[in-house]
Amino acid sequence: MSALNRLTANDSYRHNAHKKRGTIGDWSLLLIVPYLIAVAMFHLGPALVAVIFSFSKFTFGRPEFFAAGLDNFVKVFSDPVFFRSYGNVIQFSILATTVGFVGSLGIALLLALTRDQFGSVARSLLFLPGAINPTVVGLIFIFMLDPVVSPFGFLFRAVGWNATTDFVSASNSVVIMTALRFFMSSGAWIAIFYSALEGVSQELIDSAKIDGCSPWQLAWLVRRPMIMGFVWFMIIQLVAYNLQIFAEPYVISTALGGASFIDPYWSPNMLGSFYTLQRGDLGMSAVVSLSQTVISISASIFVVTRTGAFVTSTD
Amino acid sequence: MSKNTLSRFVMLAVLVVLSLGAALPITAQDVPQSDPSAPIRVWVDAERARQVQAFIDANPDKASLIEIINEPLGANVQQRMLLYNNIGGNWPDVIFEDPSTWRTLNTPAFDFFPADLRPYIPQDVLDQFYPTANDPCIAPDGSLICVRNDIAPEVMFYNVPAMAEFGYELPTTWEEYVALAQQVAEDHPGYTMGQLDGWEPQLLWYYHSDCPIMQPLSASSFRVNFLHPNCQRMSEMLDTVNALGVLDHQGTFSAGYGQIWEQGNWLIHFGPSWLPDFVIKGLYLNADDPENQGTVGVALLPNWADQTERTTSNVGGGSYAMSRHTLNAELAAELIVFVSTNPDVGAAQAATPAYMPSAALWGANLLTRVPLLASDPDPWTVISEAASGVLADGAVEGPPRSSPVFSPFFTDIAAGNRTVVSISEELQAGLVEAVTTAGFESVTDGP
Repeated sequence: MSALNRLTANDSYRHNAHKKRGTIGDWSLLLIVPYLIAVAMFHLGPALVAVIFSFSKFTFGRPEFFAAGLDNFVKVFSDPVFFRSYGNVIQFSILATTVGFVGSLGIALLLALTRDQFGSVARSLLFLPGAINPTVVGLIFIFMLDPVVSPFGFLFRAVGWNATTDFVSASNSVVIMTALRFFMSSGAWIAIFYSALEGVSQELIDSAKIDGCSPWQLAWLVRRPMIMGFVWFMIIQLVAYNLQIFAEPYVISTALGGASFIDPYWSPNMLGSFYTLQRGDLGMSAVVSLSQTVISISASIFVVTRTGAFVTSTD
Repeated sequence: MSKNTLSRFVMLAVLVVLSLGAALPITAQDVPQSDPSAPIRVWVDAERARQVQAFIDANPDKASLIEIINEPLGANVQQRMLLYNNIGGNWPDVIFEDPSTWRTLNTPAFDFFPADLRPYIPQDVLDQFYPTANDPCIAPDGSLICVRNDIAPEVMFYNVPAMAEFGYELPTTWEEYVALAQQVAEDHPGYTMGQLDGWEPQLLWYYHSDCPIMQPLSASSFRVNFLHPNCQRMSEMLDTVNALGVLDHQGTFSAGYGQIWEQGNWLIHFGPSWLPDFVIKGLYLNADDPENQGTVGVALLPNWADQTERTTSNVGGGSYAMSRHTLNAELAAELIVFVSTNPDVGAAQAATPAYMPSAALWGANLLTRVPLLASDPDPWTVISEAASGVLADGAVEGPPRSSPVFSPFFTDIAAGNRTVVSISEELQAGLVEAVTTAGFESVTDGP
C-alpha cells in the first residue's frame, strides 16, 4: 500500500486519476470478497484452528482448549521421527526444487524458441500431467516404475533394472519422489515461464536481434533477466510446496500396503497425519503443521526482502 | 475509508465465527441408552456384505432394522471415528476391519470405540476358534473388542514334480532348509526357494523364529529387541541363503515371479494359507492347464531345531467389532456371532475361517476350488494344523505396528543395496522409534 501511495504521490496525473476513481473505488472491494471468504474459510480459519489446537489437549478425541500448554511442542520436538521426516523433505526439496527449476525454465526457454506447430503441441503435452490429480498420478506412477508394464520399460532394462524391486527401494525414495513431482508439477511452471518469456517486450527483442543476438543469447541474456521476479516467486512456491509433500508418498505407501518402501512418517505432513490417525492427537499434528508454516513464511520473507526481485518502487 | 474498516471488521467476525465453528465440538453423550427396536448400521466391504445378507435372510423379521453400508476395507476408519467422536454421533454399530484397527480405536484418543463382546459370546463358542485367532481382539484389560472372521497361517508350498525329480526331502527345520539351499545352488542353480521382498518380512520370517519384535508387556510397553539371538539367527540365515542366489526379489505379487512359477523354476515358497485361492491360482499358475494340476504341495513351515513347538505366523485376516455407542447391542452382537460362527456362512467365504467348525467345511472344498494343489498330504490338514500353531506374539499387532518399519528396509535388501545383518541396528532403532512415535514405551532387553 505504502509503495503505491508513494508512487501516486509522485505523479500528479495519476494522483488525480486516483481521486476520480475514488467514488467507485470502495465498491471494487466487493469483487475480492469471494476470495477473502475463501481465504478465511480454507486458509486463515484452519491456520487459526491449528494454532489453538497446538495448545490443546486431546484425551478422548475432543479438544480441551489451551489445556496442554507447551506439551504438544515438547512431545513433537523430542520425537526423533520428526527430525527424520524433515531430513527427508529437506533432501527432497533441494533436489526437487533444483530439478523443477532448471527443468521447467530450460523447457520454457526452449519452447520460447519454437514458433511452429511442434511447439504448440509440445506445450499442451507438457501441461497435461499437471491437469491430473496428484493422488491419481501417484497410483499411475507405481506402474510407470514397473519395467514389465511401463512404456519406459526399455530404459529401465537398459540399465539392468528388470523388476520394480531392483530400484524402487527406501534408499531411492527421494529420487523417486522427485521424478514424480517433476512429472506432475513441471507443466504448470513451464506454462507460467513461457507466458513470462512471451511477455517480454517485442521492441526489446527486435532491437536485440538487430544487434545480432542469437536465439540462445536472446533466451539467456535478454529474456531470462526479465523474468527473475517469476523465478524467485517460483522458488518460494516450490520450496513451500515441496516441504509439504504428502499426497504422492501417502498414496503410494497406502497402495503398496505391507510392502511399501516409504514409511508412514516419511514427510512432516505424513507424520502429522500419523499423529492424527494413529494417536488421535490433533494437537501434535497441529504442531507439525505450524512448524512448516514458520519455515515457509521465513523463507518467503527472506526471499522477498533480500533478493531485490520484488521491489515495487525505486525511489 | 469507513467502509474499508467496516469490511475488515466483517471479515474478522466471519473468520472468528468460522474458526470457532470448526473448533468447538458438540458435547458427546457418553451413556448410550438401550433400545431393542433401534435399527443398526453395519459397515462392511462387499465380501462381508454377503455374510450380513445371510443373517438378514435367516432372520427376515429383523431385516428392517439392519442397514448395510458398503465400505472398502481400510476406508479411513480412524479419520471418520475422530469426526464422529467430535460431533458425538453417527457411529456405525458394527464394522468389519483389521484387528489392529480395533486395537488402535480401543485407546483413549478414540474414546474406546469397540464394545466388550464377552457378555454376548459364551466361552464354549470362543473355545472353538483356532487357539490364537482371537488374541488380537483381546484388549490389555481382558475385554474382547472384536471377533475374528478369518485367519491366514503361514505355510510352505513346494513344487511336487521338481522335488520328486531331484530326489530332495522336504525341510522340516531351517537348518535343513539352509542345507537344501546349498545343494540346490550347486546342483540346480536357477531354482528359487522363496521370495525375499518388502512384503511383511516380519511376519513371513521373524515372528515364528520367536523374535521379540514388539512383544506386548503391558498396556503401555513393548519388548523390542531385534538384536536378540532369535532374530539374528534368522537374519544370518536369510543372508546365507540369499548369497546362494536361491531367493527371488521381484515381489510376491509381481508378474515376474509368476513367470518363474509358470516355467516350473520354483522349488519352495513361503506364504499364507490364502495364497492358493488368490495368488497361486491366477497370478502364478494357469489353473486350466492340466499339466499344472496337483503340482503344488503344502507343508508346515520349517522351524529351528531347538524350537520345541511347531510355530508359524499369521498373515492377514479381518474381524467384526461392535460400537460401544450402539443403541441395540443385542441385535448387533447377535449379528456378529451369526456371521462369525455360522458354518455355512464361513464355508462360503473366500479366506480361511477362524471358527474351526466353519473352517472344516471350508477346507473340505479346498482341493475342488484349487485343483493345482497336490492331494497327498491333504493340504487342508496341513493348513489346519498350521492354524493351530500360530504363536500369540505373531498374531497381535497394533498400535504400534512393525510392518511399516520392516518393509522399507527390506526393499533395500530386495534391491541388493544391503544385507539383512547390516540393517539390524538401524531396524532396531526404527522399531523403538515406531513404539515411541505411537505413544508407547519400549524395553530393549530381556528374554
